Amino acid sequence: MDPQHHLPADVLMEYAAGTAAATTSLLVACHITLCALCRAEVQRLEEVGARLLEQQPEASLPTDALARLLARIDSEPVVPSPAPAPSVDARLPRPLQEVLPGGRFKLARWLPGMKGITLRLAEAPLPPARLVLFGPNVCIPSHDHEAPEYLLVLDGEVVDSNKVYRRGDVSVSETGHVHEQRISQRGPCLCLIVNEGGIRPKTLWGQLLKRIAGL
Amino acid sequence: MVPRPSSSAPGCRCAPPGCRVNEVSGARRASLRPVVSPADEWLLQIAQTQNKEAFASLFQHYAPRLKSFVMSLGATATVADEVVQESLISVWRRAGQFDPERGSSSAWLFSITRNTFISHVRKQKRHEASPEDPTLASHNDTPEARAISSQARHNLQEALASLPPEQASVLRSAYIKGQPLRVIAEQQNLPLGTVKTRARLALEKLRALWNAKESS
Repeated sequence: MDPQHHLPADVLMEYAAGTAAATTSLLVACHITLCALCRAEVQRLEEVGARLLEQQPEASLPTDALARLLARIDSEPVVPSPAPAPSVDARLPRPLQEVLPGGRFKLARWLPGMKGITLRLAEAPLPPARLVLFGPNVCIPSHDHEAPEYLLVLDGEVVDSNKVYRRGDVSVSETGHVHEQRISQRGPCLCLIVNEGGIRPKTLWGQLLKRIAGL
Repeated sequence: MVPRPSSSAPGCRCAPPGCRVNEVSGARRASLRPVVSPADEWLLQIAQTQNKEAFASLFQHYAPRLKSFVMSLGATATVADEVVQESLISVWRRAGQFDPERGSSSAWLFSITRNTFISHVRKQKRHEASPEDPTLASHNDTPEARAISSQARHNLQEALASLPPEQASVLRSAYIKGQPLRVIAEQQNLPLGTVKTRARLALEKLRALWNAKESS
């Protein structure tokens, strides 16, 4: 089944323009791997960049620029791209496998029914990206977000505000949207989550869980 | 010796009957839509015969604009020259991956240069979907899942010119200056929500315009 829940246009535009944070960019790359509609939309958005590029004034180049390029073409051997490592987990899109050492991951137990790993992509401060495995029927108590959260389902099902999110779907939680999420009782759920800001639990139980998990 | 650029005029977008830029040689002819841009033709010639004259033509047309683009992103002239060199080396080596069915040559060059800038200057990896990924969802045959048509690409220029200035300004700041929407909001002293709304409205207008003209 094709994904039914997609990323907002402004997030896809920032990805196409190259201005998305590395962690957001990773999540977009995973989503467009699983969603042909959004992949086509990114291609259209790159055409917008191309048209703006064509309107750019022409900068002057060093007089020997073309000659240097052609000399490099003649002198540098073409090194074939290394073959991608074989997939170790069929659930993971390749952009995610590329940031996991050897394509493998080992999840730490954060809470009962919740294991995860925080992905380290760059030195610069970034919105954190986490790969999280929730157990069946786990409930994430009522909470809000300081800034948008993007949750990409890689396996299993999440129910949020009566909507069911399955593989390839993205749940977007904007600031002010107080919600509770529940994992389907059918099985565990693997998600890639990017938080542009902190989580604001709305219950004492949620505040305790946040503190214990260190999120 | 530096090859001279070929004589076909950049900017020919009409692809009239008999125009040489429509002549895609060999077995690819049957499988491709008409090639409407000289740059598409240059890229195909580079891919098929490592044609250095075609590469020189591509260089003459794009390198000055690419340098200007990279400088807009914040690079010095020297760094911009390096980024353009690395980008065009990638273009030469990866020309076989260019597929006019998926997008224009300009969009391909834009994405390669943007990625080179991100990796060389920002020292970050650009995360991208891979055509060889076994998890890649296949395109279904709906208008939404198809790449933008060559006719619609041409309409896009006109559609961009018709945007309200405040919406066009957001797109230029994002694509050409490389500014995240959050930074645009700070610089223009606007709430982030307003800038996001302007971006979304601009994209909706472009989509409506190119869809309308595509179907007409």
